[in-house]
Amino acid sequence: MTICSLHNASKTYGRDAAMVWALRNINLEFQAGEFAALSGPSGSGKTTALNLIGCLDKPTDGWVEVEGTNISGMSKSRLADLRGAKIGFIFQSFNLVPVLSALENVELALQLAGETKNRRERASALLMEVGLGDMLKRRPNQLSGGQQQRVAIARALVKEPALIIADEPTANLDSKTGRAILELMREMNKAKGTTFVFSTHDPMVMEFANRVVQLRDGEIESDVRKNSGEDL
Amino acid sequence: MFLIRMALRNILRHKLRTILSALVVLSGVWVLIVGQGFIGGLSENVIRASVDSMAGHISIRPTEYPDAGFKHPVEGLFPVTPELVEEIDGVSTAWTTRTYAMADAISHPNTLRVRLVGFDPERDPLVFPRNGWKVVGELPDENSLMVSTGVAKLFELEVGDVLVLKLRTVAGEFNALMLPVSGIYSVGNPALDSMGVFLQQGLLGKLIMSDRVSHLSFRVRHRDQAEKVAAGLRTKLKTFAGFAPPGENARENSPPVETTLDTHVEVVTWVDATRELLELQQIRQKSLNFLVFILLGIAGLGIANTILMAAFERMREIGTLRAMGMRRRKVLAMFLLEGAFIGVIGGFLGAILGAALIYNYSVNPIDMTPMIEGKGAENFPISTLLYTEFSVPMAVGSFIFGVVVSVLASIYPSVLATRMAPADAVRAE
Repeated sequence: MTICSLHNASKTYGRDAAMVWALRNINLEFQAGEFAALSGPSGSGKTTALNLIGCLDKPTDGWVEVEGTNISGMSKSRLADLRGAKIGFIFQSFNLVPVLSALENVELALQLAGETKNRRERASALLMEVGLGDMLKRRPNQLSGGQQQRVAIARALVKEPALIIADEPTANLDSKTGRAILELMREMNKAKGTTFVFSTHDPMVMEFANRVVQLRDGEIESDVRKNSGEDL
Repeated sequence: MFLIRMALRNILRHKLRTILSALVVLSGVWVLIVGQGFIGGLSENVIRASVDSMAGHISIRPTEYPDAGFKHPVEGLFPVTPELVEEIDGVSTAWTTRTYAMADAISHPNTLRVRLVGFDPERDPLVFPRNGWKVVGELPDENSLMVSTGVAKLFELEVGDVLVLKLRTVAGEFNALMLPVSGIYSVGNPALDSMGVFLQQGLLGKLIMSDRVSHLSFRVRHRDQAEKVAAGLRTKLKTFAGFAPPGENARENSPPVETTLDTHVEVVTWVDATRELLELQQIRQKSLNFLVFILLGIAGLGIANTILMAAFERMREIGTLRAMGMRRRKVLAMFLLEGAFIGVIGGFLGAILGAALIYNYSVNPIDMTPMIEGKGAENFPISTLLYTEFSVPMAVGSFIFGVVVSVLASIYPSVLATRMAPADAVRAE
């Protein structure tokens, strides 16, 4: 089942002579349960692609579909609702809300997804699953980087989204913690079948991914599924 | 609930900044309440001093009496006939008569122009309450007088001393009496406390050779009813023929001559009597409004700045919330709530502190004697004790005003905060 797809998607910034192409005519599809990495050097268009996949932005040309629905005509509010219900985000700098505890950060995701039932129970159960059962009440500044990213993973997963977007999730972590985080994400991907798409230039992350899409200058350079070894 | 919790915790992130913004709101609300309390108190004070000692709620008096009253001899006095009593009885809860007249007070070698107040010993307290009166010695009987602290001071009089009063009778002849001082008073109205001399109506009648009076004063249940009652009184007395015309300063036994109301005699209320003073108060009120406007303007700018700084500092957080599905409206609400909370904290403290101060002085008045004495304010009818005017709706209103200003000031920076594109905001440094 296709979770998200880009169709002839282009994104430009600026105008006329100052126009910059961030993405050129990209076609990409992500299937349910994929653990895919978008890779490439700085300026290759990883972040722009991730913004389009995560419905944070719309393409200048082409269109994006999420679970078969074209999002082009959606208002900002409807897009916000769509993100709240179907897409989870994990950021390089964790981006937890500093005034909320670990538990409240996770609960907030359920709140924004419009969930009304058992929010607290579901949030604490997931925090336990990611190994933070004894840190529910801690604020982000009382947690290490690795612990914060675990909270962020729980926050992204708790609403059981169709898709999780992870923007360089290990970039701010040491390699040991980074590996542990990747193992956790992989584990969740397998256990819950959630689709993960992340951007990275960390070889370790690519090692974990079962699909690596290489971008360069806004275009797809290669798209490799590892389990089959097939170059798409 | 989440929004409220987040907004509350957010304003505690930069405690100093929040405290400073709240302090400005606090001062704005405080000044508003305290200013209103003092100006209201001052107005009330002016009204009460004038009403309770001289003006009453309603008075029937010779037209333009304030000017005519300084004339010597007194003109336009009218008799209190049974017919007149019949007309006015039942108009209000209480009425009394008074006669004001100017006289020379002599205590060798000094002479002083004084204002005589002839009063009805039985009826007077019904219209002019004496709770603010301070009397050393006794109230005057049929053959004595009571001088004000001002007169006593100038003549160095003590209770038991004598004073000569010299004035013209209604017929224009000189008359004089040497009278013992039964008491020295202050009634809280400098117009009477500086140059007043109280004596019973009968005794004043002997001096001016007439039992006619200059004032027939009424007290109604509440002074707000005065205008209505006065209007009724005017209608009722329109056809009354018992007032004397001007120049008719005949002696006791001359019959009253037919005349009309409003030509020679007028019905005035405390509002007329205090109009000029209240206009002065209104100017004060406007100055206060201007000051408060500026202060709350500054408070608004302070809050706008606080929210703007918060919005820029928390750009990434806003982006994250938007990425997670928070609608712009909710982000806006969160920032507006933050502004509102600062307003609530500052406004509440300002209201409490202001109200406490004003309440305190509304119960324990400020003694203004040192401020009034020797400052040429002797003729300003203001009580030496200033009671501030405390009212709960005013305090609550000022508090709400502070909160509204805070929320209004937060709108622009909050809108700015929601305008950032989430894709850029999530990665903002």
